[in-house]
Amino acid sequence: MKPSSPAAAVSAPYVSTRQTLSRRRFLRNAGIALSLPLLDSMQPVFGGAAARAAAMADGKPRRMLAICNNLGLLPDYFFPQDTGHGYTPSPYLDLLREHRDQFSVFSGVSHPDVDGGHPADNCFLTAAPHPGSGGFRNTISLDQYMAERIGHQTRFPSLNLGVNVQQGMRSLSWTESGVLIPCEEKASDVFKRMFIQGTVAETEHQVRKLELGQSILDAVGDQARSLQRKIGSRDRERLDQYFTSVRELEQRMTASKEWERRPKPSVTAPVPLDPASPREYMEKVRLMYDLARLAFETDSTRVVALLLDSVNSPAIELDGTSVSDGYHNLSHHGKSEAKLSQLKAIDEWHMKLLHGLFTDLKAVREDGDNLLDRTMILYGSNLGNAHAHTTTNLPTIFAGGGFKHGQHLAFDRERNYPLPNLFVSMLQRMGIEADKFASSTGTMRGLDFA
Amino acid sequence: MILKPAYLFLAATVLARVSFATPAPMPAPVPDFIEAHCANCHDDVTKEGNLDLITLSAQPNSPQSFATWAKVHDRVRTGEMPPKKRERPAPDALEAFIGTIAQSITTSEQAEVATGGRAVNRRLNRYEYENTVRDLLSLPYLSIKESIPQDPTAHGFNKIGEALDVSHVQMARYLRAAEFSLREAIAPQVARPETTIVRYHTWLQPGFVKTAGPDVRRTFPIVGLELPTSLVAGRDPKTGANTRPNLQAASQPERREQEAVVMLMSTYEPAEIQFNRFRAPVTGRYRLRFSGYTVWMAPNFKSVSRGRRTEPVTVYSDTSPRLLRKLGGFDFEPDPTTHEIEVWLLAGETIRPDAARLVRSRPPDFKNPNLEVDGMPGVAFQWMEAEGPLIDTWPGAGHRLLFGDLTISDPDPATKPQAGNRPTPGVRSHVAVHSADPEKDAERLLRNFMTRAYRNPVAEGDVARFLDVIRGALKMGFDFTDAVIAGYTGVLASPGFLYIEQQVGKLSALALAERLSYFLWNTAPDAELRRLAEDGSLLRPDVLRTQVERLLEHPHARRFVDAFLDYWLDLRKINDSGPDAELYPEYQLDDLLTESLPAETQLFFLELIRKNLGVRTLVASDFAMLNERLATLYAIPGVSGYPIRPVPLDPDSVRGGLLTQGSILKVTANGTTTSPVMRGVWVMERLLGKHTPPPPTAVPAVESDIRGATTIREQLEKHRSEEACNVCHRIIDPAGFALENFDVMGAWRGHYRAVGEGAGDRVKGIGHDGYVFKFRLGPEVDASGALPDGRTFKDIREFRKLLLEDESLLARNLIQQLIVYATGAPLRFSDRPHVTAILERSRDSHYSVRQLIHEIVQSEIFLNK
Repeated sequence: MKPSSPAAAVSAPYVSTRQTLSRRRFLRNAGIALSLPLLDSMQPVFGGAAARAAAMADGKPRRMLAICNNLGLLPDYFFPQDTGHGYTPSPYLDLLREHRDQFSVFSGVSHPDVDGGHPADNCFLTAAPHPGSGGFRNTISLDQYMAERIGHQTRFPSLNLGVNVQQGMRSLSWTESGVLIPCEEKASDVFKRMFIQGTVAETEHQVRKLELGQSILDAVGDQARSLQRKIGSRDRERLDQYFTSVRELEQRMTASKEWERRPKPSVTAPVPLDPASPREYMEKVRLMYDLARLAFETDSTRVVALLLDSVNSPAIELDGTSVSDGYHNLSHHGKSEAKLSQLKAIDEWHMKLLHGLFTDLKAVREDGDNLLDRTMILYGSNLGNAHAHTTTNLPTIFAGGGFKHGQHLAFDRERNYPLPNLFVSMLQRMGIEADKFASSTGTMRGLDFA
Repeated sequence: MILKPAYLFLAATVLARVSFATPAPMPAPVPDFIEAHCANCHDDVTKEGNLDLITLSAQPNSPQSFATWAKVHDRVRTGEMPPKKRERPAPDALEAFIGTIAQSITTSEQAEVATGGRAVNRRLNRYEYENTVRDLLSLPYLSIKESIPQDPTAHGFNKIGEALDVSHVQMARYLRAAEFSLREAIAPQVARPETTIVRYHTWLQPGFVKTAGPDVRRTFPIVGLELPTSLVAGRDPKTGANTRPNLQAASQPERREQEAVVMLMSTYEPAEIQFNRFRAPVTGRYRLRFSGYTVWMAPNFKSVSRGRRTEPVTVYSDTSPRLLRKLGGFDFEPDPTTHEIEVWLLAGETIRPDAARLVRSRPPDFKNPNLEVDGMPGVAFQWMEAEGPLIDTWPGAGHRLLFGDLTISDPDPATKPQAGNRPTPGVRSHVAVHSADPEKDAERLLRNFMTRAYRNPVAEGDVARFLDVIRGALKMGFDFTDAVIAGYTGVLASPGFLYIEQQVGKLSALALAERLSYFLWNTAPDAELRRLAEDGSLLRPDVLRTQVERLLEHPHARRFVDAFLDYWLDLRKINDSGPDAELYPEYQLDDLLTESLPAETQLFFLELIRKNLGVRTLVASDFAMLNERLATLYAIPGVSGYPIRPVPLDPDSVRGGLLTQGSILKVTANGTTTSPVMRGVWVMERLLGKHTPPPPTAVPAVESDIRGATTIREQLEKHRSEEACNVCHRIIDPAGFALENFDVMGAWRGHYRAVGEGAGDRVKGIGHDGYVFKFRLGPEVDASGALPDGRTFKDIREFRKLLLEDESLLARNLIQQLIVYATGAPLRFSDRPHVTAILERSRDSHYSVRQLIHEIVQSEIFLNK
């Protein structure tokens, strides 16, 4: 990989000379304020040539951003009527028309047997069946599957972001054993971890604390091992899990320690101000989009999952529309015109933000490509129709990442096509050897590599 | 919500681990019976209901086949199968059939229990972890539950060993929570803080001057019942700006006790009143006294007169940005009264009172539902007196547990949190501890700490392990305080603390004390239980019985009630959905209501235990736990004031029992609509222990419609006309139909509500949020129905009577729920005889809840792993 070159010429118009930056703009500015020499100096830290080669099946680093809006979009305004490359954009998709050739829209897709209404958001990236049922256990999510395989190549194996997430209950990110990985809500925290350089003393302090943490883990792990000898097989399984979690945390501490000593990419912008209220939903979404782009641009991570927990969001603030009701309550619109028109306004904002994200990624050059070409963006929902809690006919947009786009791939609305097939295509494009994920039956039909 | 039959998933998980000495098919009576009575439909060709018994009975048994066999056993035993239109099997053939199946499953399960026990060793859930750390470190206010990921549930509870996973994320969170708690326990300063009594008059609190109009949102200074209009905020006629009176300057010492500030609105933005001259200087216990009275405000806002009724006042602690903790409540009366509450405050918290019944006026309407022709009610706040911190010993018990009486020195003043600021995370906000002989002191302290923290005897090897951590930390350059804290952090995240460990077979006295304590207090055994465990006397049934009585009588029993009901009755989901703003304006922004709903049910269950009431009370009680807000919701006259207490009900009241409590009716609705299906499934599962299979995925769900065109009942009728649907809906829907007279918050309704033009009459009124009602009346509610056996009911009153005809069903279900909760393991097929025995033994007490608890604790299921 050649040094990623933040094409200064392209970004020049965005560079702000104002002293105070509005929150809306700061990340946009921050992204291109990276200084070239630092990027060069970062170069040696990204593992050896072999590791790099493994991550780049076609010689290009790929990224993934998966976004789930767990109340979905009003289907009537989302799905196009006609199909194929010449489809007529629906009202929502018309808001993305500038990027028509960079995304595809799917209809008639869903995760097989992922039912149960709201809890299905937890399966958006896992496709584990029957999330609402009593004996349910989740499985590994697509982002974690990727992170396990390519995560060591960046400072952060993956980022798991969220907006208004009901903490502990909702996440797109799940471990192999079906344990929830909590979402990060504060853009400022993530930003600091990515870009703020500690002083030498701080770094040493941090390293010392990690070493102390490891010594604590050694002790508790030791105890777990000594107990294992004394107990029966079912109990031992539980203790094994404890031991595994200790070991995994230890490995992470080791990796953190190594990264602690390496310089972080430098940005000139201030740390973002986190919106204080969950009502500033759209602003939070925008910040997360900017953060994801920054993370990709600086190669801090290549895998980002983002859950927009609309269900857990209050009446949100929207420029130009007064929203009277909590987002979740609105979604149970009971066909009320007033509620539907507010939902439509919200949905349109989602499309505008997505449009902004695509535009921003296109503006960043990496080698000969733009960043959108190297970033797979999955935007969708676990609900096809939030009012009725249906988990079929999911509204799905798939953009960028090195695929041939510009089409409406329409599948059977009665008997849906399995969406996990898309995951397999994504894994393969990522350079990961995989021919199956969850209930997939192959790769996504009709979707080809560019 | 998708539900599987209990026996199906129960058996599936339970049997998944059965090991077979000799895997064999079911013995002869089974295949013979199948050939004679079942094979017509359930053979390998027809496979009716996807069940092929021919193949099943030919195959050697496995955990999967046992799951199916258990289902077959139950269907045949209850007479559901073979179907009524078929010839009945001979009684002895039938007996042999189900007997053989039961025997096979039981034998296999018993073999497994003998080697591994019913329950698997499990970690503490986050409720238990928080309580245990609180009690260990004497930090009753400690709040760490939310910083640990929510626990997975299985079989309805967060106590099931197989589900209580640990990930590296969880591990990291436990470490963080442990360290945070330990540092909370260390004294913040060397000197014992001075205990002061200070009175904070409302005229002297900037937080009581609210000037943003309309008038209902302003505060009004008064002296007695005089309203000095010159001090009322108004609008400057020239500039249009709000004027801000200087109450502090106007206050006069000689009349200060008569000075008060009137609120016409419940505390809400922008009228958020605060005693903000007070901030808790240190975390600790305080006594807060509040003085005030109720008034009546003239319609022109120019004069006040004596109040006409009492008004509930609730009190919250407040830290920026509006982090509120409810502290308590009381009633102000027309004459001034003083009310005292004793509370725990965190350093930096201030106090926010709330005249909770009054309107929370929101733009654009600003109407006041309490307005009458000649004025409106208001609440006059005079002062708050804060006494504290109330300190028994300094440093506190937690500090002394950690560091004994070693020398301490104040933290660096630069890092010490100032009053008014919450401690910065990562900054040391406590004293440093000094030791002349770190090695020796560390070992002594650690040994003592581990003896208290671990519920089992401490192994020498474990002391050595954590002593190594401390030694290592000292070597790395950490000071004595941080080094010892590191060792303790390890202890609180180690399996010895985090896991409930039991040996297979009969529980040891220590293990019994542990199980009992986590059952009824949700925490580790206290000193008395430990003592009785150590001398072994807890194993005596009479001692055990006395201890159950003691635990249930103690205030900590509330921990059991809250944690149990959070899961059994889903009370933890009480705020998952809010009432729709347009349909239910009267419930908007009503904190007193949403706080009272779960409290009613918790206090109701506590009352059942305390008063030794029978299980039928769960369905029909002659009293309800009410305060004025709940009584208003339920339209029960004559109940006034803030406290929730038992109130006798009229014999023909629709209230009484769990089913008609607002909390239950709210968690089974979605805020906008109610569904007889959802409520029906919930009642069957939670109260009767009957699980419903999930709906087939091919069938579209019934969509609610709030335009007032059709009722959910009419939509369901269409659905139920299909036999495939009706098979289950005839069982689950009746309970839901009986509850149709209750809206999403639990109020009685004769008509549905609707929005839209086609609907019926408008209802006049103003919501708690000051909005004018916009909804209309929809179709009339029909709450009648018929049980699957044909018995009919007209409404909830008659439905309850039908439920009471067999109270053993209610008792059996409650026993099962309690066993799962108490033992952390699902109920097995082979547990059934034990449940029946408990049931028999408690029949004479009319299955009193207290007696059920006693019988469970004395049962083999509870006394063995």
